[in-house]
Amino acid sequence: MDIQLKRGLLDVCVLAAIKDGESYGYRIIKEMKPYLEMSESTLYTILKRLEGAGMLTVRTAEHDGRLRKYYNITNRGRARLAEFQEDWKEMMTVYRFVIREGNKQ
Amino acid sequence: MTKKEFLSALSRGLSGLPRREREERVSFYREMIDDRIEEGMPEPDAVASVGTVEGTVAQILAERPAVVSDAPKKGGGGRVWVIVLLVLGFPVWFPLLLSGFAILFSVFVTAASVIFSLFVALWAADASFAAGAVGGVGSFFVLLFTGQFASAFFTLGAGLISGGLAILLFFGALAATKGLWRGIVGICRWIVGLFKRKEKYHD
Repeated sequence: MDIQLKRGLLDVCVLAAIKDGESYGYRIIKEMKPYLEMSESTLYTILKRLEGAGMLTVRTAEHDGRLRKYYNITNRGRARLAEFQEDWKEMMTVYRFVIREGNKQ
Repeated sequence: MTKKEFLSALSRGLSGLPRREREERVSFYREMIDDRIEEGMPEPDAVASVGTVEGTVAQILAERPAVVSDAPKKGGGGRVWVIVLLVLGFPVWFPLLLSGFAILFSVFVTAASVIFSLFVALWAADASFAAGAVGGVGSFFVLLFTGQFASAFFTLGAGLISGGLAILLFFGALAATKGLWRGIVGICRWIVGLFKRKEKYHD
């Protein structure tokens, strides 16, 4: 898969994992597992990228005697998710056209 | 492998990264392992499920440029472009720079020679007046002994006027010379100051 496309997809997957409420690293990985295997290193990279882009915020809170980081989606992150859904509709139209052309040959 | 061993080895493996980034990454893995242990996984299994130290380090280092490329670049990228532009633009900027230096140098040489000739002329004029004074007084005695009193006193007068002018011009030339010397010292200090300021930037 194209690297840029894959990177964009992974970003959207992480945003989708926190869209219903704040979450933490291990939970994000677990929620995504049925759909997509993601290593800790990749998740860290994506979280930092999304934080840098203002699509999520991070807060550190004490949990069971230790510190844990919680990630919250921002309005910009939600806008990115909505944009992705629109883009995907367009992409599916193009995909159906490509498949149809392929089937004719 | 225990959590502690894994995190220590990971920190050593990432020793090439900036300290803050390394600590952040290590604490991210600590949290991941702790969450697994909290879920009931035995510590060695929790560590193993994160991956090997070597594999993790390799993946972090491989994925890192992608993060860097997305972050706004501060200085580093710009510096590379400046170097590239300097190299590519060498045929244009180098002759221009050379011409600039040549113009500055010729202006400097012209100004210096004009000032120097003025000083030479000033001191030469002073020397002529002084010689005129000596000559006038000398001639006065010669003419006096030969009995040409009118000419003797005329020559004496001319000699004294010449001497007065020589004295006046001497002080003028002296003041001008002192001024010139101060000017040269000032320019030298300014040039030295330019280099000193450049050293500060290097710090």
